Amino acid sequence: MTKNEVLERLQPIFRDVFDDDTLEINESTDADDIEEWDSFNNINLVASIEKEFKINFTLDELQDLEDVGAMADLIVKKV
Amino acid sequence: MQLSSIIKNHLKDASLYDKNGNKIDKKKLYDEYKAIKNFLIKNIQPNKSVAIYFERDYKYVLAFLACMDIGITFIPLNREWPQKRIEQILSLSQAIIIEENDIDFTDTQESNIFYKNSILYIIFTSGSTGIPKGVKVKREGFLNFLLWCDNYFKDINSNDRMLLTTDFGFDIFLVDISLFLTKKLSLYISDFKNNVFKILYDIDKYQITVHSTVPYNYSMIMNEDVYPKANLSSLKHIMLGGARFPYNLYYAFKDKLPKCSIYNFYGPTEATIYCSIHKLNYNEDKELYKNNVTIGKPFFNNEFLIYEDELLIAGKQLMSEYLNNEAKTKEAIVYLNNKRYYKSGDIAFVNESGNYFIVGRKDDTIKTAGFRVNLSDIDSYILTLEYINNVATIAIDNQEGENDLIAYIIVNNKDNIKINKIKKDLREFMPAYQIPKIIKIVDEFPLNNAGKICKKTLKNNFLKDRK
Repeated sequence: MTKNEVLERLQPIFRDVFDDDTLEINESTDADDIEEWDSFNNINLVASIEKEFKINFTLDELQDLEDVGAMADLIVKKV
Repeated sequence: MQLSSIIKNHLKDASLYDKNGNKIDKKKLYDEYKAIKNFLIKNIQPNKSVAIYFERDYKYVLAFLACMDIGITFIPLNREWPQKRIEQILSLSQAIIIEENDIDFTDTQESNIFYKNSILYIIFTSGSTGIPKGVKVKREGFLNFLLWCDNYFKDINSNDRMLLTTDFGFDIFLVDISLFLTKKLSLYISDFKNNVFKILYDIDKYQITVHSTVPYNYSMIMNEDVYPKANLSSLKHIMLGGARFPYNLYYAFKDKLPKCSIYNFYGPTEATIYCSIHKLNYNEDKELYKNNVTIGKPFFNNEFLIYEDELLIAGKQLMSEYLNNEAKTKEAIVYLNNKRYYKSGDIAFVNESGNYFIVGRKDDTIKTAGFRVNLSDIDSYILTLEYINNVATIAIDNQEGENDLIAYIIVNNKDNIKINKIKKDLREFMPAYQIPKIIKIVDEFPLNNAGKICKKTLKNNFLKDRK
């Protein structure tokens, strides 16, 4: 899977988790850009991504995911 | 001078780690500490207070230890706070703001100048009017807390490692500082920012044995999507406080971490950090009451009194007053039999074993359909349904001079729950007037700075939606 394909599949997940149908993500989107991106939604986001891509993140991977781009790179590596 | 000598003696041999997990060399640490002290002595008049605006790292710890040592009143600020809040605090307190860049770190002379200000620090709480309320905490109050910590936690020592995740600016970070000073444990500054996986990563990486935080963080850690990733085997002591201890967290700890010591702390900022504690022993008859976990018994030199259902607190840890707010101070401090009490606003109950329970908030008592009901009571009742994880009930003026009850709930499995079924289940044990008119299932609650459910935001959101 390419990074762009991953980003395309991440888009609806973000919209669903943050309950915002107009949300547009790109590689540099991070927690500062989305007001609702708090600890609780972060957990939901991780759980939804793991389910969608059938992968399991480790704590090491989750402890400093800087932005959506870093997340997508990681997913490409794991699937 | 007791506090100063505790700090000085410890800092020469302290084990402090920066936010990247690097241990700070002891000489460097002590030199930087002296440099901050020298800056303060040269630049701050004894009657002025200092607002600490450092980056969240180990030097922040050095800055308020330097203030404590000299006896300069300090106000911890957080760089993540909105600019407007910081401006309000500076204008209310007339404090002098200091940053790392102000300090000359080559100035490492030893100095022995003390101001001995009786007010150790001022913590700002949100305040119901939108203007922050400054709580002036006494040096002698903090010293009592510190000595209590030293005395109570007999099984914590210099081999322990503690992870500091609390925001500076929220007084429960002083639990970490107190254990650092008295037990000489290793203190790791975490740059945890709303990513609970970071806490878990740090706990495992540094083999953390002691953690103090708000209950909400452990509610998340025990979440079924998070817990399988966690390795909490190094943890020996989990200290929770600052918000209500959730009933289901009690059982989660019982099931998942039966060997770890779990503490429920209680105390308003006005009584210096915390003033009572209970260590869970899973004796449900004695430590649970109507789905509330006991807050235990007051520390030494603190006294509880239940007066007209409300918990009043007396003793050494009582604040001096609210900053520039005589009216609010008069509302909060009362004298009974010549003793000075703080009115906590919490409705309390004490059982036969002398354990105290907080069962509601005084300002949570409202009238609906002609009856007086307490919103926290309603929350407790609703929580007895096992498929409900958390609840926040609010009262909304229905424009007919009455209140409607609106309950926001978080459930285990959204797809299988119908509102009508919840209402039907509630009718089995609640009188009709206590059953919320509207029940809304949500995924999460808005939280305030202290990690507590912000009912004010829920209310505002409801009113916005109604229009």
